[in-house]
Amino acid sequence: MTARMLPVCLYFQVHQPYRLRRYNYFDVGRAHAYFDDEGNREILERAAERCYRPATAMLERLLEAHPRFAAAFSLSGTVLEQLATWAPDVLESFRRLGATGRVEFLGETSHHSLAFLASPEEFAAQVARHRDLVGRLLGATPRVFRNTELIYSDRLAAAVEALGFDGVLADGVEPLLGDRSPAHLYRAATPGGLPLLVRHFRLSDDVAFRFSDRAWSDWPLTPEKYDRWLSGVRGDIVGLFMDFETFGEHQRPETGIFEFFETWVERRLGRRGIPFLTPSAAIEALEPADTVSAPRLVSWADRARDVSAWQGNDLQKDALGKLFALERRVAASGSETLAEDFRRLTSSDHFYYMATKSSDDGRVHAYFSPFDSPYDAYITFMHVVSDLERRLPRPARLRRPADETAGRPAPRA
Amino acid sequence: MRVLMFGWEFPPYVSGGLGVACEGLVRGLLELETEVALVLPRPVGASRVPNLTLLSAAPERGPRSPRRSPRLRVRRIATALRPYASEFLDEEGRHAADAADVEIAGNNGPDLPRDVLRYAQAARRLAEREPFDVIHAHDWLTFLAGLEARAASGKPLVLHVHATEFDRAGRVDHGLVAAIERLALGAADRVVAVSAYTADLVAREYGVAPDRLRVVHNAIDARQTAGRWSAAESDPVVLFAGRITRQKGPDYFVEAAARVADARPDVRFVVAGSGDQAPAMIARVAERGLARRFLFTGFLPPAELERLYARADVYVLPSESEPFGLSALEALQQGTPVIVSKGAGVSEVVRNVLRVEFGDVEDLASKILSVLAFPPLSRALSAGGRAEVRRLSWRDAAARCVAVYRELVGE
Repeated sequence: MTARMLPVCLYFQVHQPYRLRRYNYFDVGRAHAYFDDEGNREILERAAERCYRPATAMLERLLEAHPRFAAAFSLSGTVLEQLATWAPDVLESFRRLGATGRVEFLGETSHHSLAFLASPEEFAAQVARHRDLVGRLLGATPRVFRNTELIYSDRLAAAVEALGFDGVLADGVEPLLGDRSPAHLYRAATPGGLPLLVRHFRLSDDVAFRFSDRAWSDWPLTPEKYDRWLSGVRGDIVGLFMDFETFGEHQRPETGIFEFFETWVERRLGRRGIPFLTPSAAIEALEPADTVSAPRLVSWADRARDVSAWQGNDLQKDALGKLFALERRVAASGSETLAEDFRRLTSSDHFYYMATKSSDDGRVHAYFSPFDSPYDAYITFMHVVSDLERRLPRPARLRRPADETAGRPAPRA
Repeated sequence: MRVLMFGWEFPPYVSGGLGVACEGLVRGLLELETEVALVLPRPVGASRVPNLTLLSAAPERGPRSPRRSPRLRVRRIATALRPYASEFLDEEGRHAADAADVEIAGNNGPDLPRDVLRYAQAARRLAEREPFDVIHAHDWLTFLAGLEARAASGKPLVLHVHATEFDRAGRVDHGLVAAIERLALGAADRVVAVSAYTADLVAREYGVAPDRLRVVHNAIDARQTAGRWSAAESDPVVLFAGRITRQKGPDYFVEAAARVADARPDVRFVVAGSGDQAPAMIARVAERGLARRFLFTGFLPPAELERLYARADVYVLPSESEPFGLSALEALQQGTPVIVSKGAGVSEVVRNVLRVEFGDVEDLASKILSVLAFPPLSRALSAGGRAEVRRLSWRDAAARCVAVYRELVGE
């Protein structure tokens, strides 16, 4: 009567951006330090204290005690660098997790960026940069890719395939799968049929968002109840993808999140079957159920599950456009300082803070934003971009073909 | 439900937000089929609002009920006032208050305290004569009238706080007015504040307990917008409008303007309004060498002001303390981006505004310049602000007042 236990694929996202400092009109042309070093350090240290240290310790215990436990992480390049600078012990913990051979590190862009939406060249460059960072700081080579905030489309999958990855992640939502179940491995609509692992969004969000919500009809969520829900799923695999900060930061320790997770893992490990698979192992073990085509962009953010969290209003579009208009000039400058400032500005977070959505989505955006309003986020970003532009060498004058100007009145001075 | 309401100003005779708010609320109440008898301090003509009874607290001259109310007589009211009247009036004031037959000026002239007392005395007469279920009085000018009406009728009293002396005078000189506010707010059955900001202030400074304190935000009703001026000239306009008093932060406007003017030689600054700080503001503008960039219009009638909101590229309300800031809603209604001081009550009901820490002149100047520099920002603030303002209505505000009445009358 007991249904076969489906393997669970756990993937935790770890990311911290370089948030901007207060920067106004009068700073343009005068101040070139854009980032709030003190604030960013404080936030990282708080996250390390509340989440990274206790949560990695919990996973280390589980890995040590249970040879069948496995999980995956994606750490953005920006958080890797912040950890290396401000909390090297946490980086060391991640390295130890990786050394067990049962924790996989995924590929992404170095700056948790929106580069894919703006420039294929910058996207590829940031993916390569991230691969180097993960190799250097974690001693691993990413084989499976997850794009910023699970932003995904056929084009993204094709780009990832071309970069040599073995698989890609996406959110298993209706806009992507239609009425197909998220509990399967799929194939992307790419020339090589890149394996596509999808998130079981309901069961993931039960933990990530709803765990401590007392207004939720299923509160409190117990390991037994959660296990029962998992047993009810038909298919091949359940992808539980969530922010690592779920543990201790978004869900505070007093909610019981740590005890819940540990007990639930041990319950699964006490049974026969395959309890956990890393993304690479899942791709190897399972047959894709179908080919999934995604002509339009999907993501795991907001209720719309599209890119409207970062490109939903004119402010966000203007900001991304103005930034990437500088891309070639930044590259031409040959300056690593300018290039790094540019890359840090490509982080999705800056655009997320500019969202003007109302209601529930708006509250989530405000929870993460260091700004008083989306308008302040936009204003700050735009002044920084103005300053960055001023620091760039003048663009080489465009040569005007002679025949195009012939016969026209001279341009006004 | 019948409300005996005490106001001080009412359109078309208004000098500030109090009269506008009062009219909005009265119209909202009437829409909800609540009966309102509005008492004003000066002789009134026919009400221009249908179904609204307007009563004057001024001595009556007309043929109407000459028998019952020939004149206001101070003596007859003095009993109730005595316990605290002596605190408010100097010898001369008491003498003047004793002399009957003086019209209440109803403007903010030098005789204001005496007028306030006379208004309160008249209130008692009206309260004895008029049938009603609840008393609703707006701001300190009418608070004593509210107390008198309650003493005469035993009906519950709601005091509506649009501003306190702490907003008007900052941290100094809270003499007479603050004393009236403390006394009345301490005695009222319910206190309605125009914002959470003001509710906090009233709780903190006057010790009003939360169980008697309610917030009813001001609103604005949809209306045909005034036609825009034809844009004969296109220089960006930064607008300051309202009473030019310390509370409204005129100095900070000028200081920010100096920085903006430095950065953008094309920007002009328009100041619409009058007030005791107008001469100082003009002097400061001259000192800063900004005279050619500034235009002082003086007091403008509402229709003209509306056109000015529509013409402006950004409206700035840099108040030191702003219980609400109705003018921000008026500017948003015209689609003009608004910058307000953080904490201003209005930002509790609209999100599509820019906010600055009071006194942060550089941030204010930067935000003005940002609105002028980034068209997508200006468009987003304009469209977002308009949409938000469309969702507000005085009827909703009035419904919240009715809910407060019901707590007291228990229908």
